[in-house]
Amino acid sequence: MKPKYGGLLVLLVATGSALASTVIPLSLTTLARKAEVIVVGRCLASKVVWNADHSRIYTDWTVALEQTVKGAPGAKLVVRQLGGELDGKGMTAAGVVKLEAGEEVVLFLGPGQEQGVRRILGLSQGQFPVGTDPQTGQKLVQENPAKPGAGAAKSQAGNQPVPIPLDQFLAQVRQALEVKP
Amino acid sequence: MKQRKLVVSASLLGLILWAGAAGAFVPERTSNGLPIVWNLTALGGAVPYLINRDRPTEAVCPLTNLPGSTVPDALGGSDAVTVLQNSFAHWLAAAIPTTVVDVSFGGTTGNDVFGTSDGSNVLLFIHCDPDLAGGVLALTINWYATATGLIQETDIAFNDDYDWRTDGSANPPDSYELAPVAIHEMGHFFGLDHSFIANVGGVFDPTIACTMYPYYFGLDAETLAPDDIAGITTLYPDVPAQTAAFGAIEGRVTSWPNLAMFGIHVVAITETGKVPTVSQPTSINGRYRIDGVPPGNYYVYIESPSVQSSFWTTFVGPYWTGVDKISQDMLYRHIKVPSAAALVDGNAIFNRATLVTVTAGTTRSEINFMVGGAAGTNKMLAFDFDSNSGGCGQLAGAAGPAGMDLALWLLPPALLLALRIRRYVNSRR
Repeated sequence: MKPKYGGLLVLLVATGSALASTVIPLSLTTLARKAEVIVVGRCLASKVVWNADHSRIYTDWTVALEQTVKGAPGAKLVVRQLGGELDGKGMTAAGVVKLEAGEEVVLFLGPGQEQGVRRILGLSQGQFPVGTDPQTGQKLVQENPAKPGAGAAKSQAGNQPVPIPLDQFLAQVRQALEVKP
Repeated sequence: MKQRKLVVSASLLGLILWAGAAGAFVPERTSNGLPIVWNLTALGGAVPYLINRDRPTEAVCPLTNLPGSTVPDALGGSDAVTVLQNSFAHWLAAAIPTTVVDVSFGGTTGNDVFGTSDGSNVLLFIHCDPDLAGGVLALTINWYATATGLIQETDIAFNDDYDWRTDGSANPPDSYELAPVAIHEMGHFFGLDHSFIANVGGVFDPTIACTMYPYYFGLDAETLAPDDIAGITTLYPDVPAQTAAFGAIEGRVTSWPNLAMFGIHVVAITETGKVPTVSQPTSINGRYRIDGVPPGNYYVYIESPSVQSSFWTTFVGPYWTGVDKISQDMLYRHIKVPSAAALVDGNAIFNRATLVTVTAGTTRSEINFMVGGAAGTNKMLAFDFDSNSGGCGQLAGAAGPAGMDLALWLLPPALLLALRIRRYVNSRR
């Protein structure tokens, strides 16, 4: 397949690594074990809503699932994110990851208090954007380059984050799930 | 003791590179780009707040499956109320004379509702909240008016699913220090978003990491970094003191020839130690201005947009939405930045770079960058990275001719139009 957009990878890295408030850096192993659902999906549309008692604003994203690694969520699910603007009021929680329509992502999802919705584990740590190599068409995954543990290795190029193939990433996730705590 | 066996091990993604992102202080913004700040004048100069010292009942949380305990945390040092009051002091005018920000403690409260717009600014401990599941130590929620960006209310929640300490004895992942987390959250309380100044030469250094760096790194976060001070000063400046203490660097980033580069981080790093100190993004016309620069000598360089993380969504995102975001990549495809590992003392690349001397109360102007220009045609003003980029990373000389600003404002939409035409043409093939 001919890549539609050259350099998409750079773009997805730029858009996909927003963080939560003060967080503990979670390893992939920890994320995999703590997640109730792990999926590869594509963000379809969002809707800003009040919660049931009109006390918090959330942005709900409908995500079409392409692969399920853990759990049995069905063909679609709703990812609930803190914050949004509605009725002249805005609510923000610093750095909550902002999904985008059409974006493909690997999601590590935690429990949801409300029926039918789930939250990204660790606010943003459980979200990995997927991009396509403009030359090969291969799907790639990028870890947040600002994460402390992500600085351990250096690439030969030395000046760009190094993504890994989606299949390899998912194999690492499955491997993490097989290891006994 | 609560059982907190979180494995904070190195990521399995060992191939991932720390790209050396500097990541400036960034104000939180509305969807329209307005900074989210308090109206101190309307509040009599100080933001009121309350503290709920009560600790939630410790029980197993069905949402997180974190086992609980009926034994309260052994803070080990000062009580939480004292620690939280002292934590605010790090940000206030008494400690940072260049800002006018202040708070007023209204006492303790029994209000245990987090994040609800109820008219009170409350600092509290919560347990088993799904919005904090999975490694979130604390969270700040700001309510604001979308029309003005003015904050109406803020709550800070500390996640009592974790053990807290106040005596410096915290030992992650079993326990965490309350004060550094509180000081970070209070930056959000005042309207600051995350910053990623945290390294030299691509290696994380907790002594350099700014307080608004989002990952927990212990007691070092209690000391505000120049980037944090520049941030709070920018939001709530004491203008005379700001002028007396800091200088500024300004200029423009363009691609050759004079195409505005929007949303590029421009970073000042110290001559000695090569410590990223303060940085700012370029605006829609490619111009930038770094305020709050402590007097001294700096190298200045521009940073790849691929590592700007939350900066992108908070600053650039509102202007480049949906499918048009691809246009950002089209603008920035030329950029090649120096290796993170190269940004260390002793590297010969600095021999070709020009120092920028900043003095208090002055502005160093026209520190310009041009990306993609013909090699050798521009005067080197700052950081030379063309050896890595095959001539694409030329640094700029003087600003473009008068009248270019209007053209620079018009270029991004023109580029969008060109991209749409290209997509249409491609779709017809």
